[in-house]
Amino acid sequence: MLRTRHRGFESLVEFADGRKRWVRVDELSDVPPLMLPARVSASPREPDDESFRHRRMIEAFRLGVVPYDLVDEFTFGRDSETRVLRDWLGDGQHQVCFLVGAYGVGKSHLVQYVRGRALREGFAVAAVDMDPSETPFHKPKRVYASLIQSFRYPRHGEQQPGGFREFLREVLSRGGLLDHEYFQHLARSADECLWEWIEARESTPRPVADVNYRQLPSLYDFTTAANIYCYLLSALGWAALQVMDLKGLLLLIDEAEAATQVGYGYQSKGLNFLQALMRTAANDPKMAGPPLRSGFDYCSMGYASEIPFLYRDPSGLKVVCAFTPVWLLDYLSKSATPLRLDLEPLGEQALKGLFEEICLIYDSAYGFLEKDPIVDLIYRRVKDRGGRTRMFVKAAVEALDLMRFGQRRPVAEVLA
Amino acid sequence: MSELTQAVARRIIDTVGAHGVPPEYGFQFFSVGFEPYLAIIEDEYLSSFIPQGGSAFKLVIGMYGGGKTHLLYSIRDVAWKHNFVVSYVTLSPGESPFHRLDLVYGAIARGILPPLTPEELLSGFEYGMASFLRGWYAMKFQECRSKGLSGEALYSELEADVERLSGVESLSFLRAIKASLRALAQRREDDFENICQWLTGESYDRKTHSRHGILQRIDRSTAFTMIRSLVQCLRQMGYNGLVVLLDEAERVPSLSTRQRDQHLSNLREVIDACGHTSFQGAMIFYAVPDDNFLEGRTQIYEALKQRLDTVFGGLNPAGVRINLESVVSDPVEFLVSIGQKLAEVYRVAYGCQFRDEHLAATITNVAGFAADQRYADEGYKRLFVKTIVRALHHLRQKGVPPSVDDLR
Repeated sequence: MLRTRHRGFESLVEFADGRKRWVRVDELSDVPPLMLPARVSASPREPDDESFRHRRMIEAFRLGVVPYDLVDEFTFGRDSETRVLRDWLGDGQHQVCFLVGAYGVGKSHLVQYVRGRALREGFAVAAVDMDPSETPFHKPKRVYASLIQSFRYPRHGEQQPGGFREFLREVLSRGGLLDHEYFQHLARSADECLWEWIEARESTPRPVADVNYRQLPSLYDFTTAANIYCYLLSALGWAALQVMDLKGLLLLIDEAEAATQVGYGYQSKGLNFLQALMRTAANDPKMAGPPLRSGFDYCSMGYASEIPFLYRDPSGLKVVCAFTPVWLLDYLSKSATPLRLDLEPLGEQALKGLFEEICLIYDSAYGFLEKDPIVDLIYRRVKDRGGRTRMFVKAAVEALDLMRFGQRRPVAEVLA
Repeated sequence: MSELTQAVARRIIDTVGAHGVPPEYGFQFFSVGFEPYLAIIEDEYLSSFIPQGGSAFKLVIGMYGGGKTHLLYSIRDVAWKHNFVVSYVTLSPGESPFHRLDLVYGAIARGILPPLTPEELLSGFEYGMASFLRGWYAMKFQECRSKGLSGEALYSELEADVERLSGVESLSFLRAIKASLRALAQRREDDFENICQWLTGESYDRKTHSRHGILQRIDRSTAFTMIRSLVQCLRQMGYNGLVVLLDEAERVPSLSTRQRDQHLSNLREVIDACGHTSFQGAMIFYAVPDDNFLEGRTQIYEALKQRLDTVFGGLNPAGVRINLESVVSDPVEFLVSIGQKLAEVYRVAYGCQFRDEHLAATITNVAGFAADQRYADEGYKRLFVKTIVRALHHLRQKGVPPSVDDLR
């Protein structure tokens, strides 16, 4: 045996007659010992839950974000905004809410806050971060797939919320959605292929694994397919409200300015879907009829051309869109009459509370806590040098890092 | 292998002298100045936080020839020590531009390497998904053998190992991994290669790939999903996660406004994914020559700048930025330290001895000469290591330190 390749998968063997050949590991009776590099440890030590959670927070703060699942623990100085959002959740008049603010002011944070709140108040929720490549508005199927993946609903007597499949199974078992052009196909025994199809996990319109799926209606990936996905989402909203005794389905769309970050042709297709979704949420009667009369682009491919945007009135949908200030806000406001919430930077008292909380989280993550007078000095430096919410948070963590590595030097010297 | 042999030393001197770049193995013998960063990367990230399911992003800034590759190799070494798979990707405008995430995914998949021994690094090794999967199969096969299994029982155990892989975001990706391992076990080499072609983002052929349950194309819109799925798979296969080293090695030629926006938008997405821990078990380093790419007035620039900016001066080893110049307080002193280490390597390589005063004079002269060039186009550190090798050749052959003119 002369040498190996692919980490021992094959060995170069010289035979008795002088010929050399690469031989697979599973063709050898006598295998050379596996060479493995020295490792410090095969597996990491178990995390202490709280300190790991706080460590995650600090790492996210360094990048100027807050982990989605930890937002509830970290909301400061937004009492009036959270009050408005809570009222809006209970308001039957406005189905659409725009959260508007500059980068770094805390929009995504509030989006996550309202998600948690809505779940606790009895809404099903689904969220998507719009992205020009992964989930652009002009690809309704991707947006739908992303929403379905994050779909959660509160279950009676259960601590943990349920997911999309449980929700749909329960709706169908209660006799809901049996006339729905798509969901009805899952009423009988649904195999994995069917679930993947309805969750839009694959780009193909229907499962290709078996001829038995040819009777399924197609879930197209076209830019014009807004009617199909509004129809699906509004059915879920309707079922949440009418079948599951929930308060509806809240759709959270963050980074909605992504609609403007694509070429002009795609922009119009993306806006078509966004506006159609908002009008569907608002139970516009035009959206319940043939899509041809809706005034929106729709999928004109055979069977799909008959699919209305709105499954039934009421849609049960509420939609939150978070934007940075962009030109399309005015344009969208004309058609949707949304509730608009403009976010301003945090005030002094909130910043102070925020900073103290960061100090405690940092201590939990690293076991590093300065004495009160030093903390005050650090806070003053951070307030002077940090900016809006995001930069303030980043500055706070950076200051604590520098103090931790600063070998007890004075604040003025370390935070120059 | 932590001992410096003559062969390894010769390889270091040849590589450094010719190109000014560190060799894949041997850079450890002349590393200087990375300790503050490496210590934190190891202690606070790779030994605990990332394996536990955290994720992190770091921006590495260092001029051309300023030590970026050397640092990235050092990080790779630490990551391997902690059982991470590492993918080193040179972001080239042609093959893997950052505004085309699908190509970046492909480059990551083609660049993956499980932990390697020094012997493997020195004797040649294969990058990429196909080699990785073959290696994993070999490792599992031998594990089964060492348990005393053979024949049907052994293959049943292997099949159980494959079947245990689950909970991966992209079903197509998971099916591809499983199908490739089954193809290996059943010696269907053509199938294995076809699946690996898809796994590395090369192509999608419905007829070929759908047979294996692969129904998704890898394109711009699915690239993130594939990266996440790759990390999830690696963790299921027994590794602690993935460390991605993205090296923006060449100056990016002029991009259209749209491409530049897309590039920045992708970078921001990557950063946010790390912040929100959707890349559980991944640590990403993005190395660039400077931060000029953040200079712009549109919202995309602003969003990215806020994420990558620092507020205070000073060296922060845990910060989002790793600034290679921040570890150098005195350039001449820094270069002298490197020179002394390289001289030691040179001694071993050529089995020679230098008079102390001659060696000190040579290193100091070259360090001064290179430090004077630190505002030129080529990084002064690269200039120094290339020149010091020439100077040591001169000293060995002629017995006297070279003058600055000899070095030009």
